[in-house]
Amino acid sequence: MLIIIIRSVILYAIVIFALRLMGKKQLGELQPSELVTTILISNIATLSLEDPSMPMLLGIIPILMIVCIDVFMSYFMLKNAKFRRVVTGNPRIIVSDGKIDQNELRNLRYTVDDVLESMRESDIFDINEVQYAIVETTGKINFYKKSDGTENPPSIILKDGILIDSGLREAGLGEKWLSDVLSRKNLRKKDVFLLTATGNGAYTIILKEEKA
Amino acid sequence: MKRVWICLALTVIMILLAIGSYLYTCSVTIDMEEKVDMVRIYADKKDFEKARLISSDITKEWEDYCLNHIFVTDHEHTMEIASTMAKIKALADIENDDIMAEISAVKELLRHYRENQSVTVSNIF
Repeated sequence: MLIIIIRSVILYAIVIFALRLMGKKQLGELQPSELVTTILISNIATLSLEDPSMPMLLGIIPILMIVCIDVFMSYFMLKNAKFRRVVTGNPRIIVSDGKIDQNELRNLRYTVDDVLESMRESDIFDINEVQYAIVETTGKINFYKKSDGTENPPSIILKDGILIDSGLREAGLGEKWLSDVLSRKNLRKKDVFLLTATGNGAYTIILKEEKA
Repeated sequence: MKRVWICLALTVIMILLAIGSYLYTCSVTIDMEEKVDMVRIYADKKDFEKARLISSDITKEWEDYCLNHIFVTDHEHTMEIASTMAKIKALADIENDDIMAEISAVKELLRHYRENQSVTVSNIF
């Protein structure tokens, strides 16, 4: 009995340490890989607690290994956009200019009920109020209402120094516009953390900061 | 970045401990097999006194391995080996020829245990 108590305390400490090592994320906003990690850790810890005859190391080592893999994955996703896309996928637009893309909904295996439920959660009760709806990589649907200001939200042109061609097209701007903006500010693409722009050429630039 | 370094250090430590644990297991089991062979030789020569001494040593050595090696994860297998070694000791005490069968069995168990700890495709899957 005392052994079970001690094992519980040790495993609790290990799981807390593991979650601290992974970093802070709200449960509802976990990426697929992070969700997998959290589920695996809880199951492995449970196995060790349920079966006192099972060596504790068979619980501790897999937990630590999974956390290490998760941290390495996060690091590589930070450094490599392609790898990030492979692991987390891309956000998908399901409503564009007020029109529902039914094909995209079918691809995502979302029903109209899922969309309506998400709308209600965002206090939207009329589909006509929706300008854009985007399914995030976490599965959450975010809405941009027609009444939110400009007809179209700003498009992402540069992200972490990388040009987003689709963003440039959405905003109806070209590479020449981008070159003019960057040369006016004496910047290169890799100096830019985030550049967003609207169709009328209004833009916001956030520069990369030096590492602390 | 600090997290990445911590995780890298943890990964390296776990891998080194795993390799060290496996090498230690190999050296103990090979040593056990050699001593069990000596028990067989003495039992063959009907020198049960020496066979008793050596089997007593290897039983103690195996018990120490099971108790002190915190990375032992296959307790079922190690208990089976311990119980067979205890039988060998008991048979040496009463100078019974059935000791030969138990010696063959424990050698096989030791070999099997060592193979189970190695990194092979069948062990992984």
